[in-house]
Amino acid sequence: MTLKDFANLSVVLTGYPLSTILPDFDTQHQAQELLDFLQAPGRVSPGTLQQLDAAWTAIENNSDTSVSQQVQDTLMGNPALARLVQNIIMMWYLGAWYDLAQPLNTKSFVSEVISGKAYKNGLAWGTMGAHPMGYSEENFGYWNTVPVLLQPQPSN
Amino acid sequence: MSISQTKYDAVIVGGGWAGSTLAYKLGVAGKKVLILEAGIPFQSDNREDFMETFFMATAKTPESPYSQNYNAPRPSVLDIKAITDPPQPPAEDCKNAKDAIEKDGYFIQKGPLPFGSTYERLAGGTSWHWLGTCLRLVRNDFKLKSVYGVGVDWPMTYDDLSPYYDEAELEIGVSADVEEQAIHGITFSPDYVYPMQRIPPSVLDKVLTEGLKDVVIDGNPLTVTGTPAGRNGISNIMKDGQPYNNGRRLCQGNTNCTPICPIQAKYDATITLNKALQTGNVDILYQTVASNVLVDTNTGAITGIEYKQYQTKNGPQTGSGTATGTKYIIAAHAIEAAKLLLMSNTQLPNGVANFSGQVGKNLMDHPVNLSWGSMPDPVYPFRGPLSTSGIETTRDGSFRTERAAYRIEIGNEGWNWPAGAPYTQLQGCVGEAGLFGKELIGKIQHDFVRQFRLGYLIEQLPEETNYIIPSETCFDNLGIPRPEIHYNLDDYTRAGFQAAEEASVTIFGAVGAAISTENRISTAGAFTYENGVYYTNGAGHVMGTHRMGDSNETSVTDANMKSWDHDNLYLVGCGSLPTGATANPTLTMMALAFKAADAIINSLNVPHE
Ligand SMILES: Cc1cc2nc3c(=O)[nH]c(=O)nc-3n(C[C@H](O)[C@H](O)[C@H](O)COP(=O)(O)OP(=O)(O)OC[C@H]3O[C@@H](n4cnc5c(N)ncnc54)[C@H](O)[C@@H]3O)c2cc1C
Ligand code: SF4
Repeated sequence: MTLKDFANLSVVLTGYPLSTILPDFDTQHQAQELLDFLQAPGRVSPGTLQQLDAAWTAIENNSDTSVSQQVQDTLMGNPALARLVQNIIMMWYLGAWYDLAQPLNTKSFVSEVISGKAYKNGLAWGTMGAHPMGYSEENFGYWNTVPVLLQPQPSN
Repeated sequence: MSISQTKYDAVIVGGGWAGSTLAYKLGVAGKKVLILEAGIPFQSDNREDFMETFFMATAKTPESPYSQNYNAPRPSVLDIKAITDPPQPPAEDCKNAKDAIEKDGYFIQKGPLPFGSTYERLAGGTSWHWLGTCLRLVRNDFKLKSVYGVGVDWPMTYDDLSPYYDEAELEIGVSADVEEQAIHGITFSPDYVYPMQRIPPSVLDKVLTEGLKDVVIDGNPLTVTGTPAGRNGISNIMKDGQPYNNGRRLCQGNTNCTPICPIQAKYDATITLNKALQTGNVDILYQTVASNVLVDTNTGAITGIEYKQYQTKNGPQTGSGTATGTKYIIAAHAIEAAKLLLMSNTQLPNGVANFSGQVGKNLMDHPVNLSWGSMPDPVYPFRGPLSTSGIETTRDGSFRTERAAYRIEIGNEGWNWPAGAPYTQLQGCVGEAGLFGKELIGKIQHDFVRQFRLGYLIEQLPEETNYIIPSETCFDNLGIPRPEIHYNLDDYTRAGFQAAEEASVTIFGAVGAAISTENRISTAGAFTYENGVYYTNGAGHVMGTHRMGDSNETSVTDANMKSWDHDNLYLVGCGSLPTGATANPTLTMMALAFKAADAIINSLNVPHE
């Protein structure tokens, strides 16, 4: 999978814009790190990665149905890919990797932290108007006031 | 002069909180001090390394930044399991220390309930992952027996300790407000100010302050007050007319005080240890584990402390020796101190300093009851210090004749402690609910920002049946016994849990929140009381194992923490506390350490006591 494809897929999965996932001036190279982690030998079977790549290419080439509907149908709806796609979301949101052989649920345990950087760049925290525990660039007393949430409340 | 040639006025076992405090005060008074510290020095594994270890930890426990040291092991919250009946046998082969500790943890837990608290063994001790709460005890906490007929009285009053509280608050650098802290008869010296102003309240604190302003429980209003904190806030002008300045950074709200403050805005004992070493009168031997307290059985005097040394955390013993001085101070943490006394000098049948038979007994914690739920409106957790406010008005009252008191800590980290937030909930949203994209963001921004939790720190009375002894079968890598712990909660404390849960119903009702029991990550501390099921958690407040008192028959030391049995031996740390009451204990412990230091300096200045 190319970096560009992985980034576009990640935009749909995370709900964050490309300017966050793969910014033009990219000091963090977070998308590249996550993609490298995913494609490291022995982590995910090459067959599954190829399947994901093919499914995503098909989604990008089909403009008849909304991308998120297709992700719902062909990625989330495909047992062979759904579990991997969940892990990609968790990589982005918490910098965490989970055992693919186990279902992801409230009883799961993190099996590996991708890197300190991936933890610090985890999207979960900013989504709440917070920062990763142990890494804040805020100033004294910020907690006394209500944060501005980075994303507009989506209209569901 | 080299260490072997120096004639030390005092040998201190433990370069943690208590040990650093004593060394500093003795060093400033010109006394020569040698510290034996079991763990690694703090310079070698610096804060950045600990932070990186923390970031990479799959479970972000209090211990996660600090790796296990099999030559000076310590417990981990990950090892706390329900005690099976009959108690789990220790690891089959305790001879391989590393394997046995990795398998079952450092403690040999005999139950019936697991002891849920932990500590660290490296220079600076457990202060590395303390939260920072610095409450004073209230007046009645010193006289529980005479006022309420339970527990024991202290061999001192609030007024005796008050000047030492001032000293400890200055050394730590406490941020708090005098007027707010004046509950249940707490008074301050004239014109007293804390070094820094109270830490600003969180959004959640403000919601609870407003929501609970008319709520009364057991005759006490539920007033929310700023929690005195050992973290840097805005300086006050001190008595010398100068603004307080400890040279450290302002708290940035990293929401990580436990397990590690990334910027040292929070006090830790390495600060005082550094100052002690800078006096030029204090030497320290790291990776040096005290293993035997030597006694002259004719005179009762302590004659030396034997120690074992190592180079690496899992390597073999590399050295040994005996440290000698005029006075000896054990400041090795409540559990390790008691263990050392009990395993020392086999000529004394009960161990060292143990005529009373109380060493290792009366083990106490503040068993914690956690309540969590969702607020009707966002309160934005995971921002600011882990806790900025609490409810202290519940800490005293006539109910203490019948049941334990509690204080309520307000948590700023959502359901992190009780329910592994935000990990657990996110796993549920992505895995079970299949959310992604905008729906996932919407769910997080709706649900997660409403999370809040309360922690009730519940009083526990001293009981002989709660105790620690050196294991006879399990040893660490240096061949030193591991702690075997026998622990339970009596009905007094269990009734405190019941009262806490009832208070939660009132509190959550008053603010329009529902109590959740979702995703409880640990059920190890489950117990029943009057048909209800409750869950206890450790607070890290380990107390009582070498208690002070008025008599050598019922206590281990006098009010200056001097052993009743050995004239040149002092036992200092939270093990000194006769009762635990409800205040997080370490400010009180540090005040006591300053008191002990005064007594030691005085007796060193009088050649023939
Ligand atoms: C998660 C957590 C949060 C906490 N939060 C708070 C809080 O908010 N407020 C509060 O008041 N308290 C808090 N505490 C409690 C506080 O950390 C302890 O009370 C305090 O550190 C005890 O000080 P000490 O000097 O007795 O022991 P320690 O600080 O543990 O120091 C003991 C030292 O002795 C050394 N040592 C041990 N054995 C030997 C040996 N055989 N030979 C040589 N050296 C030895 C150790 O390596 C260590 O350096 C918390 C504790 C925990 C676990
Ligand atoms: S909130 Fe952060 S900066 Fe402040 S004391 Fe805690 S860890 Fe340190």
